[in-house]
Amino acid sequence: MIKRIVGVVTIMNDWAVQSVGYETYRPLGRPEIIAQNLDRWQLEEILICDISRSRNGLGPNIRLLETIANKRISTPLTYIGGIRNESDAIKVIKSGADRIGIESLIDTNPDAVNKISSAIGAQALVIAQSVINNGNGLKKFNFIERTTSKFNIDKLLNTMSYASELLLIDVNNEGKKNSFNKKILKPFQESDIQIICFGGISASAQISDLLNNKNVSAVGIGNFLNHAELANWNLVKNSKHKSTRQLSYGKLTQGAKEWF
Amino acid sequence: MNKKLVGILDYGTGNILSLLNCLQLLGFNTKIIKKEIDLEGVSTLILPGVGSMNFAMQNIKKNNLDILIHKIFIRNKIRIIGICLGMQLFYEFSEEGNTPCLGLIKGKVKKFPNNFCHIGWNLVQTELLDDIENNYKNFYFNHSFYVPYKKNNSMGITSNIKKFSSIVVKDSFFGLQFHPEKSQLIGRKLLSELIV
Repeated sequence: MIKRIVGVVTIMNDWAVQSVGYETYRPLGRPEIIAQNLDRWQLEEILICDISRSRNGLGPNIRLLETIANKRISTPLTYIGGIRNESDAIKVIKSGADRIGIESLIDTNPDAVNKISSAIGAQALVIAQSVINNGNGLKKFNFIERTTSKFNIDKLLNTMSYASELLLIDVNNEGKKNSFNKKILKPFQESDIQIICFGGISASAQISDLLNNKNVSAVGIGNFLNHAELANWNLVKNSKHKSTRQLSYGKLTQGAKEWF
Repeated sequence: MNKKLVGILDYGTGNILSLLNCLQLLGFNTKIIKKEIDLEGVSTLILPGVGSMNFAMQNIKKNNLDILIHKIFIRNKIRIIGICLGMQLFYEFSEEGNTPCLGLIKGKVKKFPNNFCHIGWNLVQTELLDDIENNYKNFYFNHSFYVPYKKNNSMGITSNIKKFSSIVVKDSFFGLQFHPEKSQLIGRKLLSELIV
């Protein structure tokens, strides 16, 4: 199985932002331009995460998705933000996303999770969980209220039967270099859940190390892809991980191999 | 500019906008197909993927699209490309919701064991795209049900925890288990070769 490098674009009020711990934000620019760059650089997947939708009680950002799709992105796109029910989920898929993600909905409306999965298929559903580990076990982080609560692993494992992957967000280290806390993976070691790790992932050796875990299927990189042209290529080319996709980058056309 | 007219069947689900954009990038004229009369001038019809089988089949039957697809398949005059779910629909039965499907190709669509979902990029062993080295024939997959490998109609094979058919051919039908519209340059190249 080929493992993936996922480019994460965090959106706030229609702007792509650089986020640190979901607390401090700096504007980066137009989301569609950043998505276009990640597509040109041939990331394995792009994750659009609109953090202002659920927070403000808004539905999914369909206009943003259509704007991105109209840039003719041909990299798989996952969208998270404001999805409330199966009707929202179908709209998001029709507007250009290949998969959708939900987070707070699994607590606020668990019935909707089953209905969404029935409508779009479990393979197209990602469950996101923001977590914190301060040394005394895993806590679930509510990014709307900025509170923590006990992490219920059994409940999550049950919900995962409706979804394909778990996006595990290390809130404390999000936006910080080479700092993803591997301890947050521990409760899932014995499970078959496929995990996308996100938060503080920026170094080649760190990516190799994380992808060596049998149930880590992908790593998400956000801020650190915005510091250099073809940043993903530099992260992969000198690394030891053999399980990532082979790209020849043959005749370079700003990062993409030209087949025609 | 490529003037071929490619139809995309709207059966109530699927990533239509992604497919439209991809085809337009390749220079094809495109048209959304909802009924037989819309097929005028169409040389290739694509059934997009993304969705669940029972939801898709309910929509197809409700809109009498099963009759239309059957007619096009039997007449064999229009190239049909089924993507992901759009390929699996052509089989007799799917374990996804235990759904009877269109029955135009013999066989069953099966569920991967242990709730496994095949997400991401994987190699397709195929003789198509013969100018590309085999190691680079990676396409984007997103499915939890599969068509078991059968020698007689498989033109592409992929393995994960199972070996399965990733490209299926019958008459003028091409079924692709992966998403060429989301497989970047190699996906676009394959689509441009399959569209007639």
